[in-house]
Amino acid sequence: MADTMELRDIEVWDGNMAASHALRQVQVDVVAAYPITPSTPIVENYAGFAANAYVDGEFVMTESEHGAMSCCIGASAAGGRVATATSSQGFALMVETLYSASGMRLPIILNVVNRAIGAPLNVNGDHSDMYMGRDSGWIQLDAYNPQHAYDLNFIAFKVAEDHDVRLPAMVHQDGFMTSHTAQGVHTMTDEQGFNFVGEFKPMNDMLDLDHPVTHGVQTEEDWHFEHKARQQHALMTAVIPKIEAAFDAFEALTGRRYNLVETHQMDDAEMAVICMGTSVETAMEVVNELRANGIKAGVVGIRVFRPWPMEQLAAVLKDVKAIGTLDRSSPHGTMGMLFNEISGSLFNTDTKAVLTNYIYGLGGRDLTKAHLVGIFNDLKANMDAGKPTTPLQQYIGLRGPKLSFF
Amino acid sequence: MMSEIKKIKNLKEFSTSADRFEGANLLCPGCAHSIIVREVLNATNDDLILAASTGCLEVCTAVYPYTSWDASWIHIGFENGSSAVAGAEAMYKALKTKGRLKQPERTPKFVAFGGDGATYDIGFQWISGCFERGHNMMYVCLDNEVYANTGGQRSSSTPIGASATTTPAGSISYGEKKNKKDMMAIMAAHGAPYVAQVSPSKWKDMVAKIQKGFAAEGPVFINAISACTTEWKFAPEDTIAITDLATDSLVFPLYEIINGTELNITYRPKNIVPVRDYLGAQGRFKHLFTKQYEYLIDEWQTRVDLKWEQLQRREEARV
Amino acid sequence: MLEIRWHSRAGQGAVTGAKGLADVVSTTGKHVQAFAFYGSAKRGAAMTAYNRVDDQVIMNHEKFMAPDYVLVIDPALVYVADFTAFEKPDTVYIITTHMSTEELIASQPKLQGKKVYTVDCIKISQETIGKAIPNTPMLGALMKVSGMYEMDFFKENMIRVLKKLPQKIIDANMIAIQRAYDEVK
Ligand SMILES: Cc1ncc(C[n+]2csc(CCOP(=O)(O)OP(=O)(O)O)c2C)c(N)n1
Ligand code: SF4
Ligand SMILES: [Mg+2]
Repeated sequence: MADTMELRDIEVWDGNMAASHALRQVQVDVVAAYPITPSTPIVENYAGFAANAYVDGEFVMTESEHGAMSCCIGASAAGGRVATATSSQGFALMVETLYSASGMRLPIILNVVNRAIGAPLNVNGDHSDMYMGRDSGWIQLDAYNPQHAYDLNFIAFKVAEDHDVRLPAMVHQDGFMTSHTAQGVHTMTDEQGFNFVGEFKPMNDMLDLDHPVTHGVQTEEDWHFEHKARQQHALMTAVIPKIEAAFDAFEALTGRRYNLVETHQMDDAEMAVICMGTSVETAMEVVNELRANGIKAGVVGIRVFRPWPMEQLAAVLKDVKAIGTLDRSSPHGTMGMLFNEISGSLFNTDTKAVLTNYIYGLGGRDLTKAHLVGIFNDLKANMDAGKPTTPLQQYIGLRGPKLSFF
Repeated sequence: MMSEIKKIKNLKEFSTSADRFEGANLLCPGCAHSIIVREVLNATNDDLILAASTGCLEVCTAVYPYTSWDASWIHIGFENGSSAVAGAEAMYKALKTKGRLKQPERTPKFVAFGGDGATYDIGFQWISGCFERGHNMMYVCLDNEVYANTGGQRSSSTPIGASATTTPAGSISYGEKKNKKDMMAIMAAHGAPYVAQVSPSKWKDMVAKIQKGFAAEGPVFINAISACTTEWKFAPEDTIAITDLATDSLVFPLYEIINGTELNITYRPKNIVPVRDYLGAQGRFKHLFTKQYEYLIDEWQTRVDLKWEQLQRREEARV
Repeated sequence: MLEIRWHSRAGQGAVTGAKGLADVVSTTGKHVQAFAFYGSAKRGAAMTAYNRVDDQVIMNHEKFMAPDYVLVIDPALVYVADFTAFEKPDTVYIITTHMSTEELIASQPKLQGKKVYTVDCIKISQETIGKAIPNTPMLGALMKVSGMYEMDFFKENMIRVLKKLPQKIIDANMIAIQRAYDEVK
């Protein structure tokens, strides 16, 4: 048995440390990983736990991220709890295997510490890797601070390993802005944390020697579509209720509430920004200040990025008159992802909202409160005019003349 | 718990002794891959956890909703069969430590199969990682010296002078220009406890080596010659005859390397066949039998002679 | 909200200092944040680290900060780094230097008319810990200048924060903290 660790009720942890402790507490059976900034400390912290008898599963340091996820897939198919962590270039190197993991319905948990993808090489946080993963068939949960990075790991294991789900899940946090920012984190005891997720219940496990299974088959035009359709069906129907149930159970245990879509001051908001990661919280603080001046602004944060909470978003945005979608990833030739997804979510509704897009924070560029105030000023003008008064896509915090496209 | 080594008396008994790999598969008639797999699986009575990399073996044996495998089997991609089985082996260890194995009294063997493309080329990094980490696994390369599954492109195992679709023989080309990579030396250099070259046609030698491999602690590399009727261009009923020509001409010598240093030659042909006979039996070398390229056959013979001499010297010197 | 910016060279322990401070402050029920600007900087590169302290949950994740305190733990940085960036009229500077406060201000006119304190954290850490790790002494100086916590309470908590280090090093750190507390002017 691994040793238990005594934690204080509030530990001052950065997002990486928070995620490492979550992995330790759920007693992962196999962690196979490869280091890359800024997720490296998750792997290092876990190695430290292993070296000091706080975990008794296997810890495999592979030769690459592709090898790490490949080992995770083999381990998961063998029948046990599996997790790893990566960022950026490492995430990109893993992509082939991400599709394998979800197509094989293996409940692996991947902590993605979001970082820009080169060229140019950059170690800082943006959402390029998170966006790259969005068609890979994984559940994607997004943390805005170290507390979330801790909590969402427990929720991810609980949902992914559910036999009605059996899909892998990513827990995202912002590189450096969360991963290397220490804040107070309310902890669970080792026992509470483990019991929330429970014993791993194997299914189609290769190590059940009396019941051999074949994993990772060949299908062509005859069956491939049905496999993918079932995977999509699970994502579109089974997963959202399971996530909501896990959020409820987690609230009952800890008092901390999570929602598919996080809202701040949205009840009577006339205008809103929609964003992800740490920016959601910074925007909340800006909205508090605007509210003090009588401006009816609100914030919408995406908590569950995949499956996309389309109905919930349409509901929270139905009375808003101007919406700014804030994307921290270069869309490379189109509108930002959030602009497009929100457009799709609102298209068949009665909304008359004016929708615009902001690209910000690439490569770790700061999103300041002043930037957000400027965005809300734009939104106010759009709202008053009843149509866009700015280009549809603008860059925020860019050096030199303000670029805009579309 | 050490498992007992399976005793095998004769070929008939051996070939029918277990049926964990079904004859019902889509491999070409006469494909050596299936003979090799059967010989590996039948060499042990222990439970098996298997992996395959993308390639002929994989696409022909697990076509949904069918499977030819009556042992747990996994395929992820072209390059990572080694890591798939390594991951399963890690899980086995974890569950053993934690007391969660369903059949704790049984010790399964972990085996990955990959083509030469998956082994010599694209999957090399993954295999090297697995061997350096020391997983308890066997990696079997089905070496047909070509990307057969995708229609016969060259690999770094394709020998000089072979015509492949990406190195075709033509009016100004004799086909592949580079000699086969020495995978045996590379894997032995990892310090693996056991590395061996086998031929399915020399089945006793092969079974002995597979059993030695299963008995070893740590990663084991097996390079198996796999004559490919389709890409080497010979009649399907000649698979074993061609394979015998490869071993008896010493183009594919049979030997083992223990702990990276101790080299033993395990098969010395009574009558060494000229390399010319081996090459002449296959369509992929047909263009060599012309005035323009005949010198390459002599060069082949010299290369094979030198390699054989070198192997004998290493064996003698115990290095 | 109390905001602190550290100026240091990578390897001098500003991040550890900021995190240690956050840890101690957190035990008093306040909300904290500690972070840094990294990039791919190797040892010796100028860098900044940050603390935020508030009675409310801290939601602000912007890196921009108009600091209440600026802590400079490498003596040369007052000449090469933009350590007065976004200062407020009442920003307090605590600067590691072997000079007196008057000498320092004379050598760096940007500090004229500012609230400036000096302490030689490099010398203190060399004489106590045996290495130039000026982060913990700087925290001792900050305790004195800010009056944030009683010294006993602070040291007791720092011992917990440093608990993974050998006892000898912990003891040396405590001496260093006390010395900086006493010596800052
Ligand atoms: C990443 C990747 N690149 C390329 C391919 C295409 N591909 C599939 S099998 C194969 C060749 C297999 O050759 P080998 O490993 O020698 O096995 P064989 O079919 O000869 O047994 C290739 C090129 C692939 N599936 N994945
Ligand atoms: S192409 Fe060659 S290797 Fe592939 S199935 Fe046919 S004979 Fe076997
Ligand atoms: Mg091949």
